[in-house]
Amino acid sequence: MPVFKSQINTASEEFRKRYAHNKGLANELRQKQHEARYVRPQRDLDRLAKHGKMTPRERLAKLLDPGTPFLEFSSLAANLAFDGESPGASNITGIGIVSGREVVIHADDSTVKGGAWYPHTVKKIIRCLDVALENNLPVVHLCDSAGGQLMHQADVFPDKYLAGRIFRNQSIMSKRNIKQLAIVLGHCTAGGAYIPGLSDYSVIVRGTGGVFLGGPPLVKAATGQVMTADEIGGCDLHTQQSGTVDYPANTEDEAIAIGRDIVAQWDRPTKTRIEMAQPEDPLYDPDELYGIIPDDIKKGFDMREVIARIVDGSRFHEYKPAYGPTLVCGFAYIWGHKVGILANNGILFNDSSKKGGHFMELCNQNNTPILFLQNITGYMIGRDYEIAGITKDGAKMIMTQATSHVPKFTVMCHASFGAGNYGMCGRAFDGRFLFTWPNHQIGVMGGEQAANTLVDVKRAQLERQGKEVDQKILDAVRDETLEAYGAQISAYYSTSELWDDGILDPTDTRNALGIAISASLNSPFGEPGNGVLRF
Amino acid sequence: MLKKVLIANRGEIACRVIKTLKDMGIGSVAVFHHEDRAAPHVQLADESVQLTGDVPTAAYLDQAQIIAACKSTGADGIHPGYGFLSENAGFAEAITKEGIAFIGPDPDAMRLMGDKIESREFAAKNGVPIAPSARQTGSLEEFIKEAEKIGFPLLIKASAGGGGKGMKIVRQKGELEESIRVASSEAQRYFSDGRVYAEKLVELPRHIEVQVLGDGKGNVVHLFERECSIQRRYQKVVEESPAPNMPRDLRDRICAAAVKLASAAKYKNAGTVEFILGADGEFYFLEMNTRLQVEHPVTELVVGLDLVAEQLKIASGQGLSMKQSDVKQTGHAIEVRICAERPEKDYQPATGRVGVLQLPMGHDVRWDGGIKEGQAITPAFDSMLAKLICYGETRADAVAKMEVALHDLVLLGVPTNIDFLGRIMRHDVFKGGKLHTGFLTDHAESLMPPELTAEEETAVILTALLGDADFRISAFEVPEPYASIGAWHN
Amino acid sequence: MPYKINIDDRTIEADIVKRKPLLRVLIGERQHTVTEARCPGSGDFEITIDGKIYSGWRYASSEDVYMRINGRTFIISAPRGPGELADDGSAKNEVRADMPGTVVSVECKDGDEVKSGQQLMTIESMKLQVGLVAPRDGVIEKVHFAANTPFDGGATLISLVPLEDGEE
Repeated sequence: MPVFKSQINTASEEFRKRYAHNKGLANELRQKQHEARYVRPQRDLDRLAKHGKMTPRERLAKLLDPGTPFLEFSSLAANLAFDGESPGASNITGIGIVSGREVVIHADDSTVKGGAWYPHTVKKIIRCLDVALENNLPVVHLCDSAGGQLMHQADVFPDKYLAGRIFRNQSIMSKRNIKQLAIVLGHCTAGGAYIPGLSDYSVIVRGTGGVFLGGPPLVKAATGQVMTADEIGGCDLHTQQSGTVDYPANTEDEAIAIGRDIVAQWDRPTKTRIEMAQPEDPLYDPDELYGIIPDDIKKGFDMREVIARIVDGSRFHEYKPAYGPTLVCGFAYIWGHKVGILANNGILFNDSSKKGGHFMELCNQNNTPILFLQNITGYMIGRDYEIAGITKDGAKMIMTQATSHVPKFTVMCHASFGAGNYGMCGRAFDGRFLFTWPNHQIGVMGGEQAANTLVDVKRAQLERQGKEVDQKILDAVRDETLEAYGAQISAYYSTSELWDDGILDPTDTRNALGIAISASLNSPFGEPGNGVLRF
Repeated sequence: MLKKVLIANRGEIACRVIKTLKDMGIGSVAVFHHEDRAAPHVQLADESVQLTGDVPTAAYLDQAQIIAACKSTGADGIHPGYGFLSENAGFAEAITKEGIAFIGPDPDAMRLMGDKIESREFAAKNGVPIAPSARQTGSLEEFIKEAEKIGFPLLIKASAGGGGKGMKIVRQKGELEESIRVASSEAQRYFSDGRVYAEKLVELPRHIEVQVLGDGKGNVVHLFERECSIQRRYQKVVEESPAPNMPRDLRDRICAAAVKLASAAKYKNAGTVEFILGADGEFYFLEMNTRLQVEHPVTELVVGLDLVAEQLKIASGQGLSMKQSDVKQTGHAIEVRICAERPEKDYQPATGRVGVLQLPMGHDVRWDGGIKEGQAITPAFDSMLAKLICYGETRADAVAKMEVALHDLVLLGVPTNIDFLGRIMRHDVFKGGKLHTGFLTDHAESLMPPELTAEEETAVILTALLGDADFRISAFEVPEPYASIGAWHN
Repeated sequence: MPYKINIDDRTIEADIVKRKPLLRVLIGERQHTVTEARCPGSGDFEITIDGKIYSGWRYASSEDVYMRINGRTFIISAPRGPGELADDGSAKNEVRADMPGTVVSVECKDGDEVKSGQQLMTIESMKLQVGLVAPRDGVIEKVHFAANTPFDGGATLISLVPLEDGEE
């Protein structure tokens, strides 16, 4: 496999400008993540300490094997919602190693409003359980929550993909022999009681742990009885009398140690076999990514330069290099795993769409997972292209992509607008993992384009109505549109709404993908075959 | 010659006796308590008979059962080893009445030498030097006056026992009466005989003993001396032959005294006469042990004889098989007693299991052990697990070999004194051969285990961790790419 | 969670820092590299720490780990696992009946000093006789049932004098 020869001039003015810009974005990301992960009102931290409870990150550090990586999902979930009341959506999810096994972790964050569930909290839990289901990964729950946020119940409780879906996912996981351990370090109340209830193994801390369908306030309201949480559903009641929880522990340390020993009993799966090689670091420094990514959403860059800074040894076997040059396709290894890569070098034309479809068929034939590196503003439009069948070609690409049986991974590296998002495996297409970069923007189209379109629509409307075309009205439409789009197309908005699994510092992409691909091999690949390709 | 011998004992001495029986083509019968059912001596013997007892040691003291076992197996002789029934005159008489040979001395000799006061008087009568002493013939006051005449410091000792029980050191007149009372009541408690006597306390004494063999008709040969001064709590830890730094003339006189005593008693079979030798060159009779002793191997290596074989010959009526002039001392032998104990915690006995046992190799290395891998070490029996004996052409040679043997010996699973014994071998004063019974007390500090160096501590911790199954999984079985990515968090 | 090793009276913490390319372990404040590690639970071992080879023998009993390195014996206790099952303290002051039955014989009396595991009483339930033992060292406060008397399930048969706080 040939080594890619980089053309980037790291001494150029453009490189320096871009580097400063993107490094700044990365620093901003780190700063925001740090705040969302660690900054809490002192009184909330004190309250935890008073009850002998650890913070969720302290618990996580003790649960995970030392010296192992942790891929955290959506640290900035809900960062633009509820006035920032729910940093990280009040929980921590991700993939880590416990007792030598790959597990999905879900930990309530009781330093945020007692760990109460906001709508985004629920969505984030469902997402991590979907990850567990799709990738056959066992789950460890660290439970410590005050229950659902009653003020937001309409967005937490009733619908198909709201809280009930958590318990549905848990049940389906159990049916598929995917193990779950719940370590109860605080309260599991109302629906939350079903998390340990539906887990295959559970541990509870004496004193602070409690599992009950109704907590003290509800019990008092319903029956008039005044009882403590421990009396209604504490450690001894559940481990000695009801058998709802399996193992008692005196302290959180002990509970986590017991949990680790439980995970140590789980059998380690045989993973799906794919082509593997000895891993090697990229030849080019991933740090150079900062200087390659443009500082303007409209500007492009050569994706091959990005690929060269992510894959093993910077080796890349490019497929069909002379045809459809706006879509780069080829094979490479990431942390020793062979992958097929589709990456945008411009908009998608007939030839690039067809090439993409064919390449994905080759990946399916070869049992090779597919990685999509997005920088796409759309498919080519226009009469000539429609005659040539651009809609059909786009449809073929989507059909092949959507019906692929190998695992798919997406990194949105820059723009992700319109139908190009679909063809390049956007969220709706069941990729195993989807990450973004801080400079990324997502929308049905770019803000400028939308503003221009809506201004034209407004002008046409005014003309049709015989009214005067007032520039001020047009400007208002422009400003309104730009503002709305500005707010809703940023990477931070996307990650706040959990449209992705987290924003990555570009230099972290390689490790994140290495873990993601490894995790995905725990489940078998699907049945081969694709739907009807409209030729 | 006897045809079949029952060994009324266990552990290393039983194994050792069985070895000679096999060499001589004599049948062997082992007896054992249920707790010893997997013990080596049971496996080694031709036959075995199980004994019952409330506590395991009771089984080995049960005369009736042992005699029954003899009869049922047709054994015509019993070797009592040491401890247990080896110096029980009643037992010797009982089995002799049954027509079974007792491989040891006559009951009369046992009784005579078993009584400290009587044996001392006998020694004195026969010209064997005894330490100035006094015993109570009349009132307590008279006894105290006689004791004072000895001079201070002096020792109050129990007539019926030893091993430090019923013994009190008195340095001043004022302490005398109280010490007598305390020693007497302790003697009563341990030996059911409260009689005590007073004896001069020899300073920096050396414990010198002489191995003798008698034919019961007054003919006795000595097999030279052993030095057993390295003791803790009056129990021997290191023994050697010959005694280092001893003028030939003095040695000859001590051995002659031993022969004189044994022949006067018409002693039959093997025995050991023990003396105390002062720094001033004066030696005094201590006691005679009418049995084969733990430390007999050092004599065997140095004079080239199998003492158990000699015992069997005498017991079979063959008399002594050598003349005194035939006996020569060549080279030097040292024995160390491997015990399940913690020397650094005041020799506190320990329990556990023989998890790993690796014996040192070597032409001049002898292992007299009664343990095997997997065996449980319980409080039921004595804490001595085995003896390690080394022979060299010179004392320095023997000590060097013992150092190497102790280094190579591996016994893990129960705390032992192996490291401690190695430190004794390397101790300058021990190497110089300037021994006395206070050696271990005097040098206790310098014999303590050295502090762990930082490097040793690291090695110990990592060895402990790397052998642990859970740690190994965590260290070596974390899947890729997680293991190579290492500590990382996006 | 770090491993805790007890040597003499000190507790030292150790943890894995890195696994590839070489195993690095943090002990106390310092890191060490392990290259070779042939080290079974019981038997002879050879490991290489910071480039130096150590060999010897190792044996693990249920309580301790014994090691012999370069002619020196080391015994340390390495606590393993999450520890004893965390039962609630109250069970240790009482001997309770699981099901109804009858007392066959009483083998202790009020005020007796007893040792953990010592047999206190024999009961019969469902045609099965069982010896009840002391859950810990202690003193009998009261024997609540005499021989040949029946009792209900859950009944407290014997109470021990409660321990002061902080006693074990």
